[in-house]
Amino acid sequence: MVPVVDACVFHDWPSSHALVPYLPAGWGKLVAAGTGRGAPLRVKSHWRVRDPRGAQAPSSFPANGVPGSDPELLVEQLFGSGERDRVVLGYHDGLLATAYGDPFLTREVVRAVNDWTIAEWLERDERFLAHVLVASQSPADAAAEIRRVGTHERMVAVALGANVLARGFGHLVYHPVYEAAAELGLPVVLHAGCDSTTDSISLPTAVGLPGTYAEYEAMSAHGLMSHVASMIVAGVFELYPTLRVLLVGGGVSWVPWWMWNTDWTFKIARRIEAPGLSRRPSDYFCDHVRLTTYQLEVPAEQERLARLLDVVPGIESMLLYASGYPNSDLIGPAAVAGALPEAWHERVFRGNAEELYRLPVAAPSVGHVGEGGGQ
Amino acid sequence: VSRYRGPVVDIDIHHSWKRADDVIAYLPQEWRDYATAEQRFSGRERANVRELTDFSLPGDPPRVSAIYNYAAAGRRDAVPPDGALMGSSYELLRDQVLDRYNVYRAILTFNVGTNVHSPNRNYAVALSRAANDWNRDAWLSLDERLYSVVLPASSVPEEAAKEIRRAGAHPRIVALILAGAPMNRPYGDPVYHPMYEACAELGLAVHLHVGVVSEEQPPGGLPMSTIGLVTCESQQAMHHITSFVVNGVFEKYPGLKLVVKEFGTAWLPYLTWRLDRNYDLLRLESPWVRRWPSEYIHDHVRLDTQPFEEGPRRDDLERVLGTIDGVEDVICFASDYPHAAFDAADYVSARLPERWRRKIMLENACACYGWTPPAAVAA
Repeated sequence: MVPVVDACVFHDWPSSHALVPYLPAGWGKLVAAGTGRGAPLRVKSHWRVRDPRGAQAPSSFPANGVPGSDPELLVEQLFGSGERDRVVLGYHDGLLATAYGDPFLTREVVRAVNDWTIAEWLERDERFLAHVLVASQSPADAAAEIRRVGTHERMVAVALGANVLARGFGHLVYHPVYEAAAELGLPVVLHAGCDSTTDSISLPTAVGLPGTYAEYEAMSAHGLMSHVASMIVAGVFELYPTLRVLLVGGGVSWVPWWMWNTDWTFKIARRIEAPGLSRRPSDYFCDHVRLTTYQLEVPAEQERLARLLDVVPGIESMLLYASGYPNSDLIGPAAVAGALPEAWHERVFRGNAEELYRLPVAAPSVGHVGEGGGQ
Repeated sequence: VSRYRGPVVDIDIHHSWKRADDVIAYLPQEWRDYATAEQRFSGRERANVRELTDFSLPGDPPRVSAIYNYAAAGRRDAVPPDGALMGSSYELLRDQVLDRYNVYRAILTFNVGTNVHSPNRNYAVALSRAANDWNRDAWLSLDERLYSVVLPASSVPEEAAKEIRRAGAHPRIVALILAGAPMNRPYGDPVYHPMYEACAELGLAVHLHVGVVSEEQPPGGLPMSTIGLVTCESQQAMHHITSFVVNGVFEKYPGLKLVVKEFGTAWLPYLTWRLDRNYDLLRLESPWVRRWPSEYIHDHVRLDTQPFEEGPRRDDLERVLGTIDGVEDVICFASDYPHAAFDAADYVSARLPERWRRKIMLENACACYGWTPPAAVAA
């Protein structure tokens, strides 16, 4: 098999101490001091719902720190087999930093996170690419941060993190973020779970919070569905016609239903609610929204997935291979290859990522520019 | 192309009182005073009595502004000439639906079942009793094709269970109607189980209709518009069904049927595949789950055809639903009369694969409510 582009792997910092050198001195001192009991300040919110089995694959735990935090281990586990030739780093619990209660500290932390990612990951191995992390709760700062680090050639997208303001991501308050992303030609990334942090009043599920992780997992795409509808109806893609959105971790088998029903409501309500839209919601969706194979719903009879997806015109151009490493439900290239028609493979494993992230089509020959390159 | 000309069961017809006073008359005096207070204090007739929305009783829960709910807006020809609320005329229902589409039986389900979710819980209980008494007197003797549901104050489950045992004993009552989630808990939550125990005792199905109350908040933050929000209302159904599974409701009440209405159907593969793949997780968190979630859904959950979903190609819906084994046993026809989203029986049946038609239009509903379907006639 030709090596693939892994469009989303979740890297993380081993502890807040790792960010201290990248923070302004005062804030760094505050984070390092922590609550005075030895541990630094966590600078992260918490997930509302937890997997009782543990969220991460046992094999992904490094000797020290949390899964996804040891570049050498990632190089070994992701590139070692030759399955991948590029990996896009997208933050794991680090996304929770965007929902930290104090917006002033949050602003400094995400800046430090981006500088840390560039210095410790991108400069270590040129096969790594990364998302710019922004605190979407402070849109002006987020836009400034995009312009500051989004020019780095291997910072290839903008991760919006948690939905702290509890409004759909189409809301006017976020438009400066999209303006900056569009200006730099970067797609924005929404994660399943963005409505599932304890420091926001937005919820991950309808009719109340889930009592079990099984409920949460079955419905983890629900927030994403709402956000995409919100962005389309608000005219985000009319205002920023080159902007694209990548949905991470929400699966795909809901897309036919979403398109048909949103088009149906649009037909009834467009004159009142969306006079500025020139096309059907499904048209914007196909042109502007991309989805990852992380959390792909693969039924026992695998071929049924393609039968279902086949009703979406051009679906093979909308899917990006992403493993979701180091999560315990990560999906390897072979599993995806088995579930999707061979005719889609070139697009799903490479072409769509190269297009969305504007990667050079030819992969770099050898990876290592810094120390500790591994294999 | 052959057509389905056989009898149909319509499991979702939204009937209504002509005006709020019809129901208020059944309230005990103290709650009648409460219900009519605005009228008496201001001297004006309550403005929303004439509105074509599903909220027409005093004390209704306030709603967020984005929920215009076009789907629940009315067919103009279903509004009686005397200006009473849509769906309140038996004669119009008879002429526009029952006689016109060869309806074998129809289930009257209120408009839409959130009517008694007043935040004033004690009033909600009283209102529920009044509405059920009104229903019995006003509708249940009119036409032998008509069946109906108990409207419970589901925010007070113990009282709702009493009401199910009282009003649900009527031979024409075949189900309970739930809508919205007034306690902001999905309906499989143990807090609601007294209602299901009563339903199981009386052999009633549980109807669950799309509907929103102010206590709820959709995923992804407060909505801006109806477009998308209405789509995403199906998320309620997904959470309710999942909640029934994880809380073991179908193990506890093995005969119980959950009839999920007006949420569409094309999301069923998504939900089924996601639940089945987490069987080990379900076993861990909910040890009473003994079967595949897809089996519970096939045996216990019914979805109606509303709103009838169509992709660009005529067989798109069949392609999507056909990925679930036995899906033709799960779906039941509903017209949604008198709402603007009304689907005529012949429109829906013509768009179903031929081998699914008699099941979806007639037999599945009969099996669900324990009725014997009329014999098949040659097409």
